[in-house]
Amino acid sequence: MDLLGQMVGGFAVALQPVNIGAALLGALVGTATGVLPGLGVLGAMAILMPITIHFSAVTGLIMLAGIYYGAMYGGSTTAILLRIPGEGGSIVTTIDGYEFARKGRAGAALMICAVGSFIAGTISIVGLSFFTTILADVALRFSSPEFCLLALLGALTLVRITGNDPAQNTLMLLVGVALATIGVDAVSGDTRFTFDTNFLGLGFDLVPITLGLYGLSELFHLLASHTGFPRADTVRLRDMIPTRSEWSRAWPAIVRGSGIGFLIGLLPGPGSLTSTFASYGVEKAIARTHRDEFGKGAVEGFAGPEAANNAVATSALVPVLSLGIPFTPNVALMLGALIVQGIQPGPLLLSQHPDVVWGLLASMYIGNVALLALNLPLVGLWVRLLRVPQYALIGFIFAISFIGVYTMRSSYWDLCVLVGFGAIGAILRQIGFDLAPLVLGLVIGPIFEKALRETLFLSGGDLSIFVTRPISATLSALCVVAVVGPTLATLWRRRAAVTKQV
Amino acid sequence: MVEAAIGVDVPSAPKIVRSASLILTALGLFYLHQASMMPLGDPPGTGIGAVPLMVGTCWVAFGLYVTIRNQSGLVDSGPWPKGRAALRALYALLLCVVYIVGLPFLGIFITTGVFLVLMARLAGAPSTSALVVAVMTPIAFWVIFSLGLKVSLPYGSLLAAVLGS
Repeated sequence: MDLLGQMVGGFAVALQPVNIGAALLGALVGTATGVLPGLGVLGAMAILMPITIHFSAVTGLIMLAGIYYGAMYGGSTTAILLRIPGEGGSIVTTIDGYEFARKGRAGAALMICAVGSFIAGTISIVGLSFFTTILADVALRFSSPEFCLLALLGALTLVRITGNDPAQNTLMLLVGVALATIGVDAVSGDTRFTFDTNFLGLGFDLVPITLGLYGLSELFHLLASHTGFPRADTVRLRDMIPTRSEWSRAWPAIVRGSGIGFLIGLLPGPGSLTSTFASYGVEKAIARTHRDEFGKGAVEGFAGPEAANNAVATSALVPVLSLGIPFTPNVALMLGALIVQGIQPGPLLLSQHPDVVWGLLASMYIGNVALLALNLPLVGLWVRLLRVPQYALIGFIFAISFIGVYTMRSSYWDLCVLVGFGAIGAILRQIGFDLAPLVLGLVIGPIFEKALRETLFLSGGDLSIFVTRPISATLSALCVVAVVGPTLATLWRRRAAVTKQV
Repeated sequence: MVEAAIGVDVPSAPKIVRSASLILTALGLFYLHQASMMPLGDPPGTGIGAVPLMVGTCWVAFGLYVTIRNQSGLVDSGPWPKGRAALRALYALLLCVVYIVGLPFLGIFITTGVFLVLMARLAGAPSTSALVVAVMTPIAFWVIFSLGLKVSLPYGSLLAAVLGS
């Protein structure tokens, strides 16, 4: 009943005209940027985050959330129509979604994805409401050692799972953490690594770095390649109705994908990609009558993964809202938005700012309906968006990035950081370094440092505090598993393969 | 192109990765040196230098490991932009620098307009289209940021001087 009452309160906030407008605008702009190949979810969020900061905390966060799941949905459109994933979580959709579209059923595939995203979003919003409350209650028992270990666990899981090389990922993570230490120390108020300059005293803000690494670097890449966006055929609204047989195959996959996505989103690590591959694997494994269709346009092959991808987008918010610790760069940016608005994320967020949390959750219901209502009639518009001349989009994105970043702190230093990290990001991506750990390090670094120093104050410098408290000991063990687990799993697979050969 | 568009990193050429990690390691050494001069606190680990010292040590260690390890399993990351393509990217970077330098003097409208004309031409726009983009976009920004969001935009010392006189 309490939960229901809080949700009613959340709807009272979310249904204010300005917040409905923010959810709609966020979903619309998020979908538009998700459709365009290249920018991705993080780039879209980074470009638009400076604008959201000029609104109130709850309105800004609602808009940012709309951009987040709008971009997630938008990615599937290009995956189906062009075989180009607008963002990483749509990679799996390019396999069967594109093949399904090639059979002349592109409209139906888009409809299945839209409805699947809606169902997945709704299921995971309900889950998010329950889990956030439960986890926030549990988190009240957490103290500095637990937060320190949680931050470490999130970082370790990310570097061990994403990209191609854990050593390179760790290096990038450490660079991110190091960048976060430059400027004013949040614990003592002293300055570090500033060399008596004012601009370094401002430190490295999350937005210009993320926008540089993910937005500007992509624009530099586009200008260097000069390829332009590919063309897609127009999809008519009347071609979007799936057959009864297609529906009957799609909905169980959507429900399964939603469950898989929600659960994976709760865990540390790159949920989006993992959940889509997990969902695809499950669908293929349990398929009996249509197994040979996988890879050639199986409905389950894109309905499940797309639902999983959207469910992850929602459930990944649970650790941020309840613990104040992000496990992915996307939600790290949302955490950054909260901090910029003067709201301290953590277990007390729910009790101190219930309007923000419940308003956000309620707005996600509205945003989800808006996504469905917008995306079906506007599918032709999204296709046409790919025909907008690239020169107009490139210049516009550059300019809005500059103005957005400048208006955050009226700082020319932030503009230098933006352009500098745009160039660095372009080079690092060309070389093959994954940039996600750097962004996560920048957010998780200060959380980790503050918690570690508080812990050592608490224990008088005794490190055994990390293993003598039950929750700390469990988290310490999970950190060890995160480090050695993947190596042991590889060794075990190799041994099994050798045994099979013998 | 697909890999680049979706942000998935393809395996890298060992030589380039080694050079990059060597540069990163050198930066890490400088960071570590600066961190070593900061107090570690009492009890140890609570001072402002503790975490930077730890991070700097790990940074240098991992940097060295990535630099010197055997990377025979890695393949080339794809061609680097050459010739005109590379020049286009460099020219875009130069335009960004000019934008930052010009903003305090010329203000948001003139700087953005000039930047957009040059950037659109660089991206292959016809002159008329480039001009249209350059005029319309600053107006749109003025409506969104100044009128809509009530954000103070930098109008530049040139405009201030003109209006002042």
